[in-house]
Amino acid sequence: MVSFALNGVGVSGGIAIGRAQLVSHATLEVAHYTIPASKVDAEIARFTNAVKEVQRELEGLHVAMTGGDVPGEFGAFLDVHWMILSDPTLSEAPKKIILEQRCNAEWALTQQMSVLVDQFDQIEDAYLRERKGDIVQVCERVLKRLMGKPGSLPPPVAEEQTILVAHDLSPADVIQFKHHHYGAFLTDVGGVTSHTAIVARSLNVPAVVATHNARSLIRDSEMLIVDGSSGVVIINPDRAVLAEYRLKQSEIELSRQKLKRLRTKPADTIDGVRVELFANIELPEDLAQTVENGATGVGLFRSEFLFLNREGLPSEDEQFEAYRAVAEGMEGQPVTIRTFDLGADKQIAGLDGLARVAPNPALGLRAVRFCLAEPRMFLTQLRAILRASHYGKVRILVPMLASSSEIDQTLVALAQAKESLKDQDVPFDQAIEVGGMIEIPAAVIAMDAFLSRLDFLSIGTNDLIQYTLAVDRADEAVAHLYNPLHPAVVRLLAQAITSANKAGKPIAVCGEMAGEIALTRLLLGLGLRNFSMHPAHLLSVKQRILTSEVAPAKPLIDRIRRADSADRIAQLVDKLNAM
Amino acid sequence: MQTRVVSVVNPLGLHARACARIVSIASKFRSTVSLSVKGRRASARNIVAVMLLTASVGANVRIEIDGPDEAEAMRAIAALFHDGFGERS
Repeated sequence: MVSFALNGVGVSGGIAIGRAQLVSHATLEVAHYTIPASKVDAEIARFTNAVKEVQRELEGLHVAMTGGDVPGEFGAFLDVHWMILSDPTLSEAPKKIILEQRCNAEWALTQQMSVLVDQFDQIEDAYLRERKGDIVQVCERVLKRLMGKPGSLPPPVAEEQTILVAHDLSPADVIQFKHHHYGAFLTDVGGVTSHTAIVARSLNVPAVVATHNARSLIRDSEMLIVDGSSGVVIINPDRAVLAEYRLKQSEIELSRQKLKRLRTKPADTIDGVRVELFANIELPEDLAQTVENGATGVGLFRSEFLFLNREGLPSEDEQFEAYRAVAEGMEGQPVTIRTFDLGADKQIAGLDGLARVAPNPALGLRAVRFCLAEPRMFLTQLRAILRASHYGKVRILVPMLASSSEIDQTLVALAQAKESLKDQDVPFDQAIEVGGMIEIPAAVIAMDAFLSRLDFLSIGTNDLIQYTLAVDRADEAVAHLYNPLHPAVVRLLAQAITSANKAGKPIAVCGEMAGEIALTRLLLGLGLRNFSMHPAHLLSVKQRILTSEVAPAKPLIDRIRRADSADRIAQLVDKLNAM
Repeated sequence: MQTRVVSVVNPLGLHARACARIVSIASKFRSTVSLSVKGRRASARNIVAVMLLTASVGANVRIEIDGPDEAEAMRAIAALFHDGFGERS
């Protein structure tokens, strides 16, 4: 076995040593795992059912279309797809693959699809060659069905020692990975801000992206070392290298242990400025990690998890139980529940408003806009949050607000929810605080509307940067233009924090910037006193705060606020960090 | 067994919808229908295989039909080709 190294961009620190597991490179990312012999029949049945369901779906679409003034063309396309799906090459062959290779249905179908796509690729006629698109579309429909109802995902032998190697990872993979404990992620594409990076950091798992060809160079179950800090990947390391990295790994673990002693220490700067450190969580189960890392509140409880990997809307009771669990678990410390931030890159099946493909999802019907357009869904969520407020200190956080009328509409919806609970004598916190996310530049520029109507604010820096710089950080071609230190971003942050502080309204940062220790002193200097971040970063940020001083940094902060380039700001931030 | 060679007259060749029409017609008969182009052969009930025949405009397609209703089937299938699958060229 040849030992070699690959270089990529390290986007999530730490060292992992383990075996490679390749993830398929189909349009949809598909996992590959082995099915125990006893489950093969069930896996084949799962495939058969998915095919049947998609067939019915296509038939349903066709029925819905006939009679209307839809061109016959569309119906014909559905027929083609139905026939392709019924063709034994797609409906039967994968079963054989499942049986022979004892692999999961998704993988079997993807393999069969690749075989067919390869055959189409050899066609000389360009027009006919492109017909492979129909095959891919049909397969994707079935894959989506299968993935919506995952089979029994048997975790590979030791997950901590499994390193996932993929072309790219999608946001939909996030929740799936939360239930696993993979050792590291490696992807061909992506940057510091790609989904893989965000997921990896949030899971505290080392990750290297932009390796360009890791997926084609690395073979299944090869031994890998992934150094997420330097971006180095070593394939089939020799004994000396392995020993060296094991040592590094234990050093990292040691410093993690040391940090744990800071858990109950208040986050005060050297000059006595008190800072609140809150946690961002996605699932009620994240609570344990939150408490373990000494958070004094939950600054952002993303509620979208309720929608993932399921069909239909979560009921009020189901939501209530999830929110109450967190409210009770935090024992009187604030729990900030953000209302659904659906749309954009978080598409949910089964919601009509989202079924259509928006021309520009990031600028479309998402978050509060979507909630206001679906008043029944919104009312259900507001009632569930209000009910949970009886069991702890719950706050409501509304995403993507841009204007006073949206705030007013939201407050009216909340008043209705309160009214309906009162009518039914259901207890809730009448004085529940309502806050708004600051993530659209308009919200900062016209923040007086927010300050007069809301109880608190929280800056979502990820979106604020995206909208200020017009950069989609998930788009590899422009991701390098995404820069938290752009003067416009820094000035917007300064303005938002200053005006909130002046008005006496609490303001937090809950975007990724809050969890980056290189930016802790900058945010402190801009006047921020409440940081909300992934629990994994809480202790290192706290350590940073404990060694910072606010007053002496003021002249540097003033220069940062006046600087006209990101490079200049980066230099000044370096100086600030060296103080 | 009936055999006949027809040519593809519609400008786009045997595209997906044309293939779909062949498959739906062929499936109505009890006879087995196969198509071959340049030595490649496909069952006419198998749309993916028919698509992979990749017959462009001008290509010759050999139709072979075997079974109790072969004469009728041949008329129907050959007619599809002659009409250019209902497309006006």
